[in-house]
Amino acid sequence: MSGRMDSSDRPPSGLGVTEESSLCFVDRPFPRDADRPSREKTSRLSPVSPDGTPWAGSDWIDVIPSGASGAAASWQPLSTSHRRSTRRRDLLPRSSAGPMNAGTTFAYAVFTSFVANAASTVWAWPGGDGDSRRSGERFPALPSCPGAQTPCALEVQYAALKSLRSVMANPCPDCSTYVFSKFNRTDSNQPQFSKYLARPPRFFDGSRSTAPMNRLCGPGWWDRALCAYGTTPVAQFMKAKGASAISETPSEQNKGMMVFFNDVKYDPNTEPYCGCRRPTQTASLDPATIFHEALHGYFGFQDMQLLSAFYGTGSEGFASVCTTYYLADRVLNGGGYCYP
Amino acid sequence: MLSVKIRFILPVVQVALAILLMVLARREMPPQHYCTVQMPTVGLVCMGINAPATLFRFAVGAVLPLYKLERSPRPLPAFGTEQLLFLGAVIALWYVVGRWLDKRLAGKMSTTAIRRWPGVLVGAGLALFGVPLVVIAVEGIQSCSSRFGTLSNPLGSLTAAMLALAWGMTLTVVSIVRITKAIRMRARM
Repeated sequence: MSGRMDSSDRPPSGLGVTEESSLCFVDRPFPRDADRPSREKTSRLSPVSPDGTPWAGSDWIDVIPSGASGAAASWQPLSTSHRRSTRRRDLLPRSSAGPMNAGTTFAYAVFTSFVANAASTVWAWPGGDGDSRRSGERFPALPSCPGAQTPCALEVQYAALKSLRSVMANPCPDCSTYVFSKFNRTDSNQPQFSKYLARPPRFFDGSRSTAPMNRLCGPGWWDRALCAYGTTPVAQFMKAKGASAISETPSEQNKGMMVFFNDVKYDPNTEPYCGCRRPTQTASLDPATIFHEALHGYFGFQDMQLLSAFYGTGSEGFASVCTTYYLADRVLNGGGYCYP
Repeated sequence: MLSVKIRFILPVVQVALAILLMVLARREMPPQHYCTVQMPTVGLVCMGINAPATLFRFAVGAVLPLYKLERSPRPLPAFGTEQLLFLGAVIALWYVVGRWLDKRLAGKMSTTAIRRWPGVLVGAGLALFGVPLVVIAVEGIQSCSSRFGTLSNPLGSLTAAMLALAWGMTLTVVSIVRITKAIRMRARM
């Protein structure tokens, strides 16, 4: 059946679309620092997320104060003033460094940087997300300003997630007809997807993240070893792609979705072609974007596979955002975006 | 008659093959406007054929910030630092294999005495690649069977995992034999 997908499907290869059409836009940029009085006040997230659910890994998600570069980002030894300003600890106790306390040698500098970089890399990987301030550089929190008139990115995304959770928690015939029936899998159903959505999400600021892209290639070491994107930082990738959101595909077992968001300015003149007319609806696309990213995390499907399932053959040239339009049109907002 | 040693032929052939497969994989990569990763089968096969080099690239990338060596930030460099590192590892890998084959063909394998500590160190070095390869290859095969395929390419990732498993098991067995021989050699002396 056209548009259906099973595990034996081999998605078609790309059609060589130019980079100018690389669009993964949401319908509007999320507000960022405008309402924040200072970084210090909002740099650390509260353990409870704006929608009331416990924040995933709230003990290690933090933001390194501005100006801090860290050994993972710069190959410098951790000076005393640096440690004080960033409240970091050396990986090796100073007392054990012996004579090196007297002066920082080149070898010590290289060694410290090497160990610190290795440690920060490894800790950012599976089973190693323990407490590390460097995790804050890899997984920086989204800007948050609880109670502000104009919500910040974190509040926007949580509101979108809350809205989507509400849709999935209630009977939704369109969800089954237009989404879950498209995938020939036993776990392709609304109740199980709703359970996945209920897990604490991991939303991060993709514009600042130094996490390696292979972190998003899947939950296992094998996925990451094979990942084409290697250690390219998430922020660099998102900037080069003009991506507004990217997810871990699929999510780690028993964990919620991991999504990196980026502030991408919406340009109506570069609206991607989705085999349909341009969007006319003014409602927010945020819940549809979260839905789109959650499908990546839940099923492990890539953009190409989602587009193929939703739009059928001939969707090879469509942009990633077309999936978002489809979900907004068919399931969430009820028409006005695309009529493939 | 000019005899060309395998240790020189093999790396050249393998690196040329790796470059070819990488170029083909690059051409099959999804269009730029997708925000997710999909690995073409040829790219995965290339990584499976050179599984120890893939592991080496991954390990080095985990420790050193290789992306900082890129001149211009690109979402997916065709032959960036990591790819060049991978190709360097491919050359080294197949040189070692070619050297082993040369010795084997010359019949020197049985006559070469293995000293204890060098033998143990070489064996340990082989195990350093072999054991992790077995572990992650098994993980890869499991993920292919239990989920919708690794990297949304079940065929490619399963092929790569099987190749990696073959490499891992070979290296592990060779390392065990090497270490055992080295220890026994000392015991006889």
